[in-house]
Amino acid sequence: MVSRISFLIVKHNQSALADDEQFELDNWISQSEENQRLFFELTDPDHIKAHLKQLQAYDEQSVRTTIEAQFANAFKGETKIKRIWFRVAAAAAVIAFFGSGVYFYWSFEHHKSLTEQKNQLARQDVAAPIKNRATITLANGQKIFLDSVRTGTIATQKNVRINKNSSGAIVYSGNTQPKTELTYNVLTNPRGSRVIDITLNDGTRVWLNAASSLRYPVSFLKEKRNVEITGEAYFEVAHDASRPFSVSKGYTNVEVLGTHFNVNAYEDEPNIKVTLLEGSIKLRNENLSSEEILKPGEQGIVKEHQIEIAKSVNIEEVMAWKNGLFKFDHTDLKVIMREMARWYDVEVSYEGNIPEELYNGDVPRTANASAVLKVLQYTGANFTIERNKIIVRP
Amino acid sequence: MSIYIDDNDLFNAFKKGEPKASEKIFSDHFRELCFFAERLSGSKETAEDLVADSFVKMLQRKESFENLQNIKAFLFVTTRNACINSFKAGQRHANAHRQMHYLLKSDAGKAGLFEDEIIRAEVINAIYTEVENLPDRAKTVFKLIFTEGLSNEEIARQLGIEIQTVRSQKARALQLLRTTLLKKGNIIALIYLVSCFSAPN
Repeated sequence: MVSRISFLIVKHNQSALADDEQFELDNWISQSEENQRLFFELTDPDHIKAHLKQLQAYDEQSVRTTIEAQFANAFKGETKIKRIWFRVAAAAAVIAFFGSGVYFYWSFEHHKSLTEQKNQLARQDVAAPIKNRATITLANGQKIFLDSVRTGTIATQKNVRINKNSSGAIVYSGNTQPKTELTYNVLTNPRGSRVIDITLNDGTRVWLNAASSLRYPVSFLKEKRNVEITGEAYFEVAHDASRPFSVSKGYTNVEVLGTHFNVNAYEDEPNIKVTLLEGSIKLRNENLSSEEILKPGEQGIVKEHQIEIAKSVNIEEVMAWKNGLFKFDHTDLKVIMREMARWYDVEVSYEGNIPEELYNGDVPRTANASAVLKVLQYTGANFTIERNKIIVRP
Repeated sequence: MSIYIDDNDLFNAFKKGEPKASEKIFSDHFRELCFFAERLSGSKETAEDLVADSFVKMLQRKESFENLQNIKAFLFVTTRNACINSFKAGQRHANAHRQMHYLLKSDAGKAGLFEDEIIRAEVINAIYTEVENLPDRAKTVFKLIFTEGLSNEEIARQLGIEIQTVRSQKARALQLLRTTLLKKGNIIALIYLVSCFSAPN
């Protein structure tokens, strides 16, 4: 304990004080009326009851999330990921985008006068990713860097060909159904990378956002089709009544026959959100014994011990990432900053008490970070960019 | 329960970057810090935010600490300073006015250290931890009696268990906690607590 007196009082409550400690405590008590009152309070059941209630009310998960938003590896240990940062390409992009007049549309909840931060933002600006930096890890551990291979066949696994087409999309073809073991590939899309489009062996098409990954079999089994994700992905599942398709992340499982849906499962977002656009899906939380069936337009929010259904969500907002936009609809600033952090591959830190405002707005994802921040400044927060960090101040 | 033998063990693991260690330091102390911060700032939301900031600041300079005691002291001092600063910067919370008088008054008496608030937070947290370490059933029953003030019947109903089970869990909790909340020779506290535990059914 920080305070010696706390230690003594706790021991006192346990009837475990040694003579000299008792003497020390008595001395402190007799030093002032305030000390006497404090001692009584901390040994009085009524006061203790009230204080315990207050202590219980603090939201551990919310505080943990706030910490992780500002310090990415706070409770995850330190894994050094090697990043290849194309500085030259980024500098060229800054000039191009600045010159080309980007269109915005926005509305805001509160209007305050802008402070002169434009110059500072421009000087250290961060450009939007201009290429896709995804990789596919084959079953034998070999990694293919998708932006550095040519179009055409990039690999063959058993009887399945992996093809990259002229628009950069990946397609697996060759419909063999294995009877024994499955071979898995992992598609990884790092932070600061554009959306990657992949078509799996059964014809299911998946779009993967930045800071996300997809683990899937090269060829699906005869009875079922299972994949795992981290981060965010949009699925257009090929219809096949004989083989249900399922996506899992931890204890969350989405089962479909053929349908279009979005899964947002970033570790640093509070809950997993599954939004159905077309068709029908069954959403399961492995911690519970119940399942929920979603209808188009509905969103399932998966928490540790429950599933909540939001009856009608703003589909455009959910799908904005795939359509090349940042779209905010009464969105909290911290949620926005987390999205920016993944897209621009920057860290975000907060200093001081940030006003709790909600934001509305549409900004194309091709814009530089400073352009997006300029829009956000209208609501009272101040931003500076330093190297690869965005600092948010009140 | 804890995988760390003592403070040194925990501290070394933390220094090495073991995620479970920083997790443990966080869960051991964030409540007492929030309690401390809420007493100084008057707001639960502000308290949680400032405490999160203090943890972040601590993590950012983890190399500079020599032992767990340093870390705890840093967390309290940082939280205290943040409360005072955000206060001076002008808060929009309704409680701010009332808190200002409190802070100014204590400020004069304790040279702005707020040691009494630290003591309050640490002692209550120690009791809280003691309750949290009770076995599950006994803990649930004890909390429902002590903090919610429910009767045996209400508890039995809420938990879907037999009243006899409620009574035996009560007895178990009381036995395990007897030495921490009771004081030798304080008959008033003893009577009060016994009456809590034998509320009319």
